[in-house]
Amino acid sequence: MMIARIFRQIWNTATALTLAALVCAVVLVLAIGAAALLGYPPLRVADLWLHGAAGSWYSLSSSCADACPLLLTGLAAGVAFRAGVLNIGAQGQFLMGALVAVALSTRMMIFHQPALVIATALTGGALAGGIWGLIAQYLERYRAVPVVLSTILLNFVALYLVAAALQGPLQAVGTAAAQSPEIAGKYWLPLFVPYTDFHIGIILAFMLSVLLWVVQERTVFGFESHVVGLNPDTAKAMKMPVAWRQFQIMFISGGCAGLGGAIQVLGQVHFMTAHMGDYGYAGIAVALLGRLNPLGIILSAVFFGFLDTGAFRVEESSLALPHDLADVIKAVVILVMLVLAGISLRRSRRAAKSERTTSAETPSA
Amino acid sequence: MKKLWMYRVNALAVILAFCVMALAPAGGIRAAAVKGQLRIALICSGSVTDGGWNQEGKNAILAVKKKLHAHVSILEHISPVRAVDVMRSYAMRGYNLIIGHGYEFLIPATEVAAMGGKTRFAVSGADTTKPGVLTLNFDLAQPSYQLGILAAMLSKTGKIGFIGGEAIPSVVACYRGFAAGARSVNPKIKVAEAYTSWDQPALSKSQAQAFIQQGIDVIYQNVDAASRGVFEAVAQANQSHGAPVYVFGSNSDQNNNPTCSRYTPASAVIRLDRAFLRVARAVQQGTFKPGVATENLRNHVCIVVLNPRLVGSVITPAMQKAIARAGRELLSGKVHVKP
Repeated sequence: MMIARIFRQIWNTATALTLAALVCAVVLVLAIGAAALLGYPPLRVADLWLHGAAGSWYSLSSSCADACPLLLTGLAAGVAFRAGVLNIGAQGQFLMGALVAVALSTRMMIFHQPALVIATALTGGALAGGIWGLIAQYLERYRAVPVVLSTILLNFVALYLVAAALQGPLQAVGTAAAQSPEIAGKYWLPLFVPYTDFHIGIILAFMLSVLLWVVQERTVFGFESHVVGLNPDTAKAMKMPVAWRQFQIMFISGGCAGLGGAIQVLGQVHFMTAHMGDYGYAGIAVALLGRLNPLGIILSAVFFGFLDTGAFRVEESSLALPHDLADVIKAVVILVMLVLAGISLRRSRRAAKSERTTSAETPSA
Repeated sequence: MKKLWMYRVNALAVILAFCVMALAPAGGIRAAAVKGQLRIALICSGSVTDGGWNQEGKNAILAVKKKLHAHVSILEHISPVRAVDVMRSYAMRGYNLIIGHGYEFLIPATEVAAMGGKTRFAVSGADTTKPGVLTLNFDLAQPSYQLGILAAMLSKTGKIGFIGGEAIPSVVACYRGFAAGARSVNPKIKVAEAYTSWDQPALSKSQAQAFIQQGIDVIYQNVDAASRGVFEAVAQANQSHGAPVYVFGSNSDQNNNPTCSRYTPASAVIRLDRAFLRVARAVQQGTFKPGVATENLRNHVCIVVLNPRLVGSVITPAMQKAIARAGRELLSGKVHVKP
């Protein structure tokens, strides 16, 4: 019985994700059609794109490495949105995570054994992101500042804090540039396929997604946080610890983004500037495309990673098709998904209304 | 019915996935460059239409392309996060030279250079060296010194000002050179300094307006894309003001800016094309050597460019002579400005 229920859940998830995948495929085909209209050979664009994203171990690893921070910031947004916590601050939490991880692996090393340095940097990064998120939740709970507002503002605070640190205590020696020292090679995340970007951070991110899916779908905590998200009043009436759950969710959400930042600097970039990419904001799109489901977010992040990496390979080629096309595709996919979600919501409301009308008419009949 | 629909959707997805997988091995990346042709990639952090640093980089590499008949590929909006990936991709495809246009590309270039191969790496705008990479360090303090002399000779009020995008050492060095040059002409001259933003013209405009209200009549700006704001403030001041207010350009030749070219007598210019051409030639001839190359007045990369339309009217022969003399003194070491 229980196994059947789990299978049903997986089946429903797969159906929802397949729909998203179909939308992505259709938009991709349309985009290549648009490229053809602009005078680019469509088959060559498609060929370069596919090969650039997944044509070799090297390209595959680039795509996955690009998907990794998106997956973690996507999880940060997805986990929070599902519980009704509008955390728009994944960018700030990502930056804080990266900053602390760089500090703990360069200037402020507590240990010197590589494994311990990596472990402390990853933990420190996740904690930094989580604590940065908690500030926003505290402001909402005790100072009536909406989370959506404080998280946006805290993104800027984090950005300027990072800029100040990189021109101050964390600035590399011998340069005027606002950047951190390079993390020594022995403290980089180990690769599981040599000469590629397949670092263990990718596996860690995938495992975390599955773990979060299990927590959301199979635990009391997951159920309660979902109820809090759907209707906090009902949750309160059912004697659920609403505020406590929101704090916990915010910590997990910020922690995911912070871990994303830490993995990015330890596994991919190996130093830090204030320009670490807009992964926090892109994570919101990833979470929406993945329908706030951790397994969906994996697929959505991988899709975004493949899209980006392939787009760069097309731009680098003699075709020089701007990689911004990938951003256009992402935006269209998100819009289509939102429209479809709107249609499905309207349908379900209509169905519920007609059900209510039928049940109200039945006794009199 | 709903179940049937779900089956159909899932089946379609599986078919689509197979189609994609079947299509994937059909081709490969083919280079368009002619065999034996020098292949150069330029990687920029911002837009190549920013009217400043990145646009100059693009123009410079296109000039190199024309001179050496090289194959050139330009990538814009590349963050340091993506840099290793794109640099490695170019290197794997046999590019001879990869130029990271900005200090943020130094560590990624070092990482990719360490992987070996025949590709050479250069990073413009960095000031420190890393193994396997040639860094181009642009010393704009020397031409700033010459502009300081011109400013002191142009100023009627004895007050001049400097607006920088950010108080980073390379920009502060411009202020130092500018102030030293001005004081070499008039030791009592007042030199104000302010730092606003690289990309917010509104901020730089309000700062320029504040300077003009304080009686400053020559402004030297190094704010890149935000320079439009300073030009607007100067243009407006010259419409209402009795005495003229002048502004100097920086990094690129901004003497022909559409807003107030009549009041822009000179610019401190980085001739990126000369620096890039030298590096590309070195790669072509096999004489490329990693290290730091300081680009300054001596090798004609960082120079003062006078506005030819104002030479003879605003810029007098005495001013031209003073600028030329300062150039000679800087080259001979008689005058030293800290870069």
